[in-house]
Amino acid sequence: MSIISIGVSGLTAAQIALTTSSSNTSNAYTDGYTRQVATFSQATAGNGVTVSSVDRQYNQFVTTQLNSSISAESALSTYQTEVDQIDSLLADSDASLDTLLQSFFSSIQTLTSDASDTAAREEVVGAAETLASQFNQLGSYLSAMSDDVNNQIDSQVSQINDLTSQIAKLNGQISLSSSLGGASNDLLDQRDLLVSQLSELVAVDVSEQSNGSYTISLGNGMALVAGNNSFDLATGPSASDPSQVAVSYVDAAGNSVALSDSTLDGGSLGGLLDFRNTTLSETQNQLGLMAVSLSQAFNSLQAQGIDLNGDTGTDFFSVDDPVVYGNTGNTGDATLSATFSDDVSALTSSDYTVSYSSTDGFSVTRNDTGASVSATYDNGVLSFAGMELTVSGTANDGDSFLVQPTRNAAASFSVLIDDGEQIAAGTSSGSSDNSNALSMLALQTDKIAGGSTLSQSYASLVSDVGSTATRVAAQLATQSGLTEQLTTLQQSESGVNLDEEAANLIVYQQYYQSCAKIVEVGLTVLDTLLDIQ
Amino acid sequence: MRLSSATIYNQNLSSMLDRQSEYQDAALEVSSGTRVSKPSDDSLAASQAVNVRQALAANEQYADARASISTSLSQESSTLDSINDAITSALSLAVQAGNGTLSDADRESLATSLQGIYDTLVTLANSTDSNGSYLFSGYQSQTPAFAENAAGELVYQGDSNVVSQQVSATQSMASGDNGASIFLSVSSSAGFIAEAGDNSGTLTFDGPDIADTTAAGYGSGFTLSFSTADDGSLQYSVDGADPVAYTDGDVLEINGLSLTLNGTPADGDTLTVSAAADADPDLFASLRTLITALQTPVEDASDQAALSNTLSTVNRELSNAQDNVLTVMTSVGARLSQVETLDAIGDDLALSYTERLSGLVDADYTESITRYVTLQVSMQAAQQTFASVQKMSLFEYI
Repeated sequence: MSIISIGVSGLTAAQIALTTSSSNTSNAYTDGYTRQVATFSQATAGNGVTVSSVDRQYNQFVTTQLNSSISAESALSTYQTEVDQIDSLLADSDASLDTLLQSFFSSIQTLTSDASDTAAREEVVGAAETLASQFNQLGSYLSAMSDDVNNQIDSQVSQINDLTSQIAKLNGQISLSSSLGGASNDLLDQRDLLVSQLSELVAVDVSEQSNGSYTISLGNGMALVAGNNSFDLATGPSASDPSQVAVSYVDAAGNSVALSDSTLDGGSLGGLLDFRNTTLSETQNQLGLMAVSLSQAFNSLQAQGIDLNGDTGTDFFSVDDPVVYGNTGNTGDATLSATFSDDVSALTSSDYTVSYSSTDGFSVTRNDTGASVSATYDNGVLSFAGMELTVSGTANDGDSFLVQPTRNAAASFSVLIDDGEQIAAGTSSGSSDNSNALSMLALQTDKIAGGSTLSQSYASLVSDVGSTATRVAAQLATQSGLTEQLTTLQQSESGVNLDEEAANLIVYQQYYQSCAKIVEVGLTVLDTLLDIQ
Repeated sequence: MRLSSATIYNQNLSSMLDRQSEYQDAALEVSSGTRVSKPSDDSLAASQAVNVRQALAANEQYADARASISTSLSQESSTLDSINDAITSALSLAVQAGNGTLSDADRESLATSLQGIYDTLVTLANSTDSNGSYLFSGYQSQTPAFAENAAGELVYQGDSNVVSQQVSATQSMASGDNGASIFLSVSSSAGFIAEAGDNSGTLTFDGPDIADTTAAGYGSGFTLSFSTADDGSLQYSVDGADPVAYTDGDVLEINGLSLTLNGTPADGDTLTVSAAADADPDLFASLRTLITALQTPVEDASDQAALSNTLSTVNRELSNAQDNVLTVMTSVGARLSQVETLDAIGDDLALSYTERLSGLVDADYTESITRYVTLQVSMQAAQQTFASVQKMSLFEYI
């Protein structure tokens, strides 16, 4: 009797082991699957074997390391995808910005050799229009990238919210099933897979509670998942810059707390925010600075000269005025409108923040370095860095305004002159007076763009973008290498090896046959007993 | 370390994909011949390349400016040559006119030849370039340099400017000269001119020649006015000073200049001496004066004196005009040779910039092709390894 039951216990155990092994084999390439191992232990004395547990081969420590490496890698990878677009945009070609600038100045040089030649004048207008259209293309491409980043932030935040709500639900199911005895391995696998996917989007901290539920929180401690509840992130226009989407946290009471970009560090969301605040806005501003400098310099020279019709020169180019946004948290009703002054040599590629305090009045700081900028406030007009801001209304203590001088300049750069005769090539009414045109030609090598020449300005932009792209690629390669190593480490414990499972199948099959033999022997013994007359 | 099947697959796969991507990059480099096209390929080289291209473009602009100046200066040079020849002919005719044995008719025919030379000079002064712009009008290139006014005088319509162009990074050069500086000026070594007024006496003069450059008042002109004294003797006053007696053959030294006077002036005759530059130099006016004088019949001694004085003055004026034209020609020649020098320097610079640019962005074919072949081999190896590793499985044997 006992022989048979011992044998049967062995068969049951073998079946569970074979099931486990088959499950491992079939899930060898499933994402997030953790291999399971059946553990045999001796049943209470004399009763054969029992499978005490089917253990999930999971290492919390390695998994946490791997998730944080995935976050870092994802941030870099997202950054790289975006930066590579700008990299390609600035690739050298016959239509690159520096080539078109050179053609423009070359056409002006032709003009200086005969200022009365209407064909040469028309060529200058043509070259100017080609240059403007390239500025526009670059500017609007970057603008479109900015919109695209906003859209991606929106969609990633909704993915994050989706994942956190699924994790919360699984938390509930897992703590329920563990209180009923024995958590289901596939629920645990699902939850870990979701955490891994969440780590790709944003860097999170995970801690396991005693009842088996995960608490997932952001870097600053705000919880995204606690027990069965998930807390959403929301997106909306940023308080300081309505053209950008900012992320906020919705707490249990329904209040939105704005999250600074540095809180959302890591993951593709972090990568996007980092990209937007660094390379994207720097590139837009630098191109805009070139456009504004070129426009102002040419317009000043036009005003000093006389065109072919004998009239004083009119503006050659135009760019949009600087953009000023009042912070949505401002309590005063002041609005600022900005224009460029005639001398824009103090203009930089940085944005500026104007703040008002009741003790010090208006003060200005640069957004890139945080350094304060000297500004003069006279009769309702605040002047600094080549701009004049007219204040209307009254500001209250603590109000702040964001000034973006050159953000939209490249996209809005346009040629106002449509007729070569309007080019003020001379300073007298002589038709071949080229003295003003010679000054225009000299702008090519004058330091008009924030202390550098136009060409140097473009070269430094190229260098910045190129070195950023190279640096990110190198960092990504390193981080990917690390992720690969951690994955291998994690897989060495949790991954399925098909050869191992094949070996197990053979072993358990034999084991099953052996135990079946025991049952057969037991039955034979019983038969022998029953045959005794 | 234990490897899971997924790890083995992923490692082999990613290795193969990496090789493939490197191989593709190498292939692209070989086919395009460029090592740096995007800034990320080599950010330092890319940004230096922008600056080198700028320098190359600027160099080309200067070369274009020099080519254009070269053309206009060459045209000006040949025009000035013709002008010089015309003045030479005019001078020789003026000298011929001084021959006392000529009759009115002979002088009339000289005047006719001189008129022809005058017309030629007007045409040359109003030369245009290939675009139809006047060469010698300064900035007023759509207006003829010289035109006749209502009184029949030839007036300069251009201005005093000269079109200049930037021929190198540090130098700008005038691409021509204006009519005023060619026809209405004298060079700095032009000396002094004496001109008789509308005289009725038979006064003639020789000179003025420079006698003493250290004399007080040297360089300023003066006017001699002749009058008859109460006692009937002739006298003259210098710039309204007290009259001094005059004798035929007097050699006067005033303001460092010496002047020899001959003949008998009448009461009210004048003789004005001035620096050539202050005497309103005008080549055309001088020729006009000469032609008119030759067309005037000589009937008496005073007509003869007048003709002689006119010839004296005009000869000097024509010589000065010729010197001036030669001076301008020299300056044009100097500019042309400077342009040639700058061209040679510019060509060298262009070559060195092009080489530098190539060094920065072009691919070295030997290196690129070697890399390409090596990567091709390693990619093939990765592919074969993948295939063979994937085939190995215990399931094949059970």
